[in-house]
Amino acid sequence: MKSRLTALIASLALGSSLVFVGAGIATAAPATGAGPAGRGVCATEAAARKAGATVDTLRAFGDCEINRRFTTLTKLSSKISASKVMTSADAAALQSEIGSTTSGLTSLKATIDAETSIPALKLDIVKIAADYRVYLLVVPQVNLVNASDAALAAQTRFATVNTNLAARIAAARAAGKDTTTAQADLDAMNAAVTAAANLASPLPAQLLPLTPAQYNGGTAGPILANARTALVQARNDLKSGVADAKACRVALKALK
Amino acid sequence: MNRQVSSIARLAAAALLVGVAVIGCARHDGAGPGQPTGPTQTTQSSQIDQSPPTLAATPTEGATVAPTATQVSTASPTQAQSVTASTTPAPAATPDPLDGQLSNINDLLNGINSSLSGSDAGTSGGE
Repeated sequence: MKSRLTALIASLALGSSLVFVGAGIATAAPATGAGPAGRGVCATEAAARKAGATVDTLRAFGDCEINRRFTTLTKLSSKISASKVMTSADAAALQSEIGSTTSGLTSLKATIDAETSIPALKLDIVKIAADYRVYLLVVPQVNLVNASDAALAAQTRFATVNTNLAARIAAARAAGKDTTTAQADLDAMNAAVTAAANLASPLPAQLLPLTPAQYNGGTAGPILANARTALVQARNDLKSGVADAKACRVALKALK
Repeated sequence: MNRQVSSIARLAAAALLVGVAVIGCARHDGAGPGQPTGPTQTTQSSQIDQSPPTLAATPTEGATVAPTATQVSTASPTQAQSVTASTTPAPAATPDPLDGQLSNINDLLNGINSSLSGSDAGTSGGE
């Protein structure tokens, strides 16, 4: 008896060591926050332009700002291509928008490179941000549409979970068990998933048509902000759904 | 009786040493503070998701629990270690498919979090 107890203690010690290892693997590598090419990329060119606005300094600044947008647009395009949740229609619409933005900026860069007038160059530089709104419109559009489609993809996965748990509840009920708690948890899961899907499903259609002109006119900003708020709520609903599914399983196990 | 207790104590010590060694190896392989940049967030989440089944199916865990009182009481310290290493692992419990299904959903939630962070104008580079 004593030997079994000691062996058990030893195995528990080893087991807990392995748990620590698992936790270490899960938390060791920090998430990298590498976003698109940042504002600081063109700090040198910006400083040179401020020190003296010549054709060369303005042109260098404009080219740098356009190039960092190219970098961002390339990353966005890769993100869309790599997305496992984005619908093909949404991906096509966003890739098209990225293509036209890239094309427009390429044309603007050619204009800037050929420009010899300082006032004209200053106007061209303003257009880099105002006419394309890469960071304030295109980046949020891609990310919010991707999040919307992910929330809708989660609904499909939850349907499988629902099938799984409903079968277990039916089996328990057939065995004469009281499945009231488990069924309530499953109902709560389905309600949470439906709420999330209702929040997410209209968003791509609202987000995709937004234009830089709408952003400049003040109408696109609130739509982006509202979409983000809705998706935060949808994510929280989906989290609740996961918790409800787990609670349902616990309730079913308690019946055995 | 004393010999029996001594063998048991040595077995426990051996198990602890194995545990410490496993921790050391894992830390060495993982991306610690001084290590190169680790895998992407997506890779991490899959590691998290895969951890529970790996732990559940580790042969060492089953082998440590498996030795009977008879085996422990008659084995020398060296033998005790070999028993620990060679005992057939207990069959792992069948994984609940629900774990995989919920893990997939958690992956999607991580993706939503990542997209929400990326949609922030403040973190997206600035116009």
